Amino acid sequence: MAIIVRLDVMLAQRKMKSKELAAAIGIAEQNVSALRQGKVKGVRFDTLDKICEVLDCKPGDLLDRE
Amino acid sequence: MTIGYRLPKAWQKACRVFQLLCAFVALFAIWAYFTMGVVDVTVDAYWQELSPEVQSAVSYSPLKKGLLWTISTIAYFAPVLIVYATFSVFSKLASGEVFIPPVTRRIRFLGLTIILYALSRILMNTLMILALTYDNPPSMKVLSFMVNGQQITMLMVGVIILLIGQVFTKAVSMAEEHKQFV
Repeated sequence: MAIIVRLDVMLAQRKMKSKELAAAIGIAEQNVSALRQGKVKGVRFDTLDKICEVLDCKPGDLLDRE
Repeated sequence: MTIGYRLPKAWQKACRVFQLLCAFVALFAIWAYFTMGVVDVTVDAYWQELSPEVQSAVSYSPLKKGLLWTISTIAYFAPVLIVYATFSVFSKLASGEVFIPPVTRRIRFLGLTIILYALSRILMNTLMILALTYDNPPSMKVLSFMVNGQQITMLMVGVIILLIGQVFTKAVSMAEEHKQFV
């Protein structure tokens, strides 16, 4: 799959751990880890919206395509 | 691989009760087979269906006894296999997990055992009568074929349960795919 998830970069920029992000958006930590590693088949819009809200970014900052 | 939904505790307990009931029924059936002369009773019941002239011509060679024993035993244990299949479904459901491959496999196996039972009942009449009379004099040999509504119903029930198992298998794969969306 050509979609790249840049969640690692955003977490590093916001100095936030994946555990903290998972707690903030209300999903399991292993799901955040799976998302970071690109091992998911998709992201729900409401999850993406919550991540953007917590990390103060836009979807385009998190997702890219090679 | 587990997906989301778990059976409520009350249902898990009910499955445990039914699991134990199936175990009891299966053990009783096995005990009855060895203590109640099931084969003799079965052979005698089919012998009684023959006309008096044919009955008088029936002889019991060792080969015939072996054939009758084999057919009777298979037919007797076909429903016991259903009980075992039901036991295995309940034992897995008692753990609470529903949408997992072992459950779907066991449901499909249950459907198969019911189909096999229905087919064995359909064939048993023919095979038993044939086994009793195959070595009779030419005019005393009997070939019969009988199908009744109950056997057809059992066959359809088995097919439906098999189909439900197939649908469950698809549901498990869909649920697993759904789980991969965060």
